[in-house]
Amino acid sequence: MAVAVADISGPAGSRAQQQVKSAVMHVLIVLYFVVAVFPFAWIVGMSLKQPADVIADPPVIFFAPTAENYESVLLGKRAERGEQARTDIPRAFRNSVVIALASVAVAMLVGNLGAFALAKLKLPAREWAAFFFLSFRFAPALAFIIPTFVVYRTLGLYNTHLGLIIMNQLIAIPLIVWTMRSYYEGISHELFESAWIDGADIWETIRSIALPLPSPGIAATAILSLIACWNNFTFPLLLGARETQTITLATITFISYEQVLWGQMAAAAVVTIVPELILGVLVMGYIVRGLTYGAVKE
Amino acid sequence: MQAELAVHERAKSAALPVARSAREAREKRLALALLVPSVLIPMLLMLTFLFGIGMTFTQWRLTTGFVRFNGLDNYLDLLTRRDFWHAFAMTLKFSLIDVPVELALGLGLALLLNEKLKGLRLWRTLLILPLMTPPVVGSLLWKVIMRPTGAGILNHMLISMGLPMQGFLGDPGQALPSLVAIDVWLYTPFVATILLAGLQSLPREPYEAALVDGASAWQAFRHITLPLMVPYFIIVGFFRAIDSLNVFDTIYGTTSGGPGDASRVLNMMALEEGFLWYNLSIGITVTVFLWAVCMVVGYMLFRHVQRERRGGLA
Repeated sequence: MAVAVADISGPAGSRAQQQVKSAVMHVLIVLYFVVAVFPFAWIVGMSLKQPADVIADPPVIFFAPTAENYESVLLGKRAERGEQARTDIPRAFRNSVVIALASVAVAMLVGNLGAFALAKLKLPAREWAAFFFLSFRFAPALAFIIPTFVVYRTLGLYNTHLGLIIMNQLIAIPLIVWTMRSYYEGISHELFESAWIDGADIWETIRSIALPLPSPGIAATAILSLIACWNNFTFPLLLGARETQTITLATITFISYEQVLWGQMAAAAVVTIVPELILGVLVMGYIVRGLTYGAVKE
Repeated sequence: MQAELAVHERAKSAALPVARSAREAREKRLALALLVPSVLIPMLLMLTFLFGIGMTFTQWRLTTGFVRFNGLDNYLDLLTRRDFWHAFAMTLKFSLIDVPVELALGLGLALLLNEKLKGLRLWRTLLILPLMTPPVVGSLLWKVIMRPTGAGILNHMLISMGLPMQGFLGDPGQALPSLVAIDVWLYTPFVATILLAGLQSLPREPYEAALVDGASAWQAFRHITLPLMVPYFIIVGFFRAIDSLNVFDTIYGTTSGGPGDASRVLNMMALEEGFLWYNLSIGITVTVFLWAVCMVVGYMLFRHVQRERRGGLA
């Protein structure tokens, strides 16, 4: 399947040349990934360091690891040495889970219906409806946050889980509508036609064709929107406070004017990233479609 | 018997168009019914945004709750403010460096990952690491690495190579390039992933023909691969252009627009005006301006995607 440029260097490229080329490519790829993965490795290392090792100048590469940062961050255990932030990471984690799951549940329900309508049913101004959804993807978050801030203060939705779940729809619905639309469009129209001719009503059609056929796509899209909601930072930053603080936001609270608690911040960062990496690996095969809102299919 | 059959046939053929048009009408009603819930929530939020546009014609102080209609004053005020033009220039500068670097690096990476290399599965898995990381957390990782003292690992490497220590994010001249570097680290995998999908969907025939004609690898790349990849470049390019114009998380997590105003992009200016100086109406005016810029770029992307959808991309 892959059309490699190397394939066509043909008879002109001698065996030795091929070997050199292959070696160069391996070096390049290893080089890239050393740089790309290094920050993760460094932060994992830092999360296992004691306060003295964290601020050591020059930095220490080999050190006696400690679980202190994780104990302090996850269990709220007081650090023996050094300071401790008053950030409640377990609560932030719960907030993230609740807000992301609820947001995606709502968005999957309504977004899939919309995607199906846009993909398979005749509709006036269909393309404008599609652009309406996409326009949210392009808008700066602050353009929605500032007026919403005023509205939420009036309605009492400021610093509530519900308020953030509503805002997350701005992220999840466009993603789901556009990505799922491309999956629904991939189902042959004849399948629907024949179901309708057989007298199936719309719910039967959805249940028997529209849901089962792209079900891996549905799962992948749900996971990708979960990651997108989890990653969001601006909504909880500006429309919430301590009670609704998410884990993504909590990571940054270890940096204050007085001090930076590097070790605990590193531990919090690891706790934030790990669930996402697990989810990310699960949906690797579907990532292209999700990232481009269905514009490019894998 | 025969007559009966003929009648039956006639009834069937007469019934079909009726059934079809009735079904189409039903289908249209149904489509609207299905679309309404998914439109409803974004519509409410869109109303909020329209309210925000309304706010740009007012003086809206958060602290005093003072609200006064003041026409186009906010817009005129911004047009004469040097810090607004500075923020706009910073935003464009960030985007104009960021996007080409990511496209070039992403293409290189995609070409490599399209080869038969050892450990390909591992590489492709590692590729998505930064993609799954929240941008603000990703920027924190780099803030740690780029610490402007000897305790920073990057500076430690420079020193051990006999090079002078750098300020990176803390240096006015280096803040923006450092932020670009972080953004490149975060989003080159995005570009590479999509370009790789493009490379893998390319037809084989042109390459076989080129091989017969004795074309070199470079010629094949230049005259077959690049032209065929244009639609993919346009899609990733637009996505990255919009997102880099909207850059916020990485800057908030590292420099907060500083030092001074060295990395103060439009979003940072809007945040400061709105939530630091409690001048909501100026803040929203800045973001409405940015919104308009992003919509123009976004509409171009939309048109491109529409064309490709009809032509059938991948």
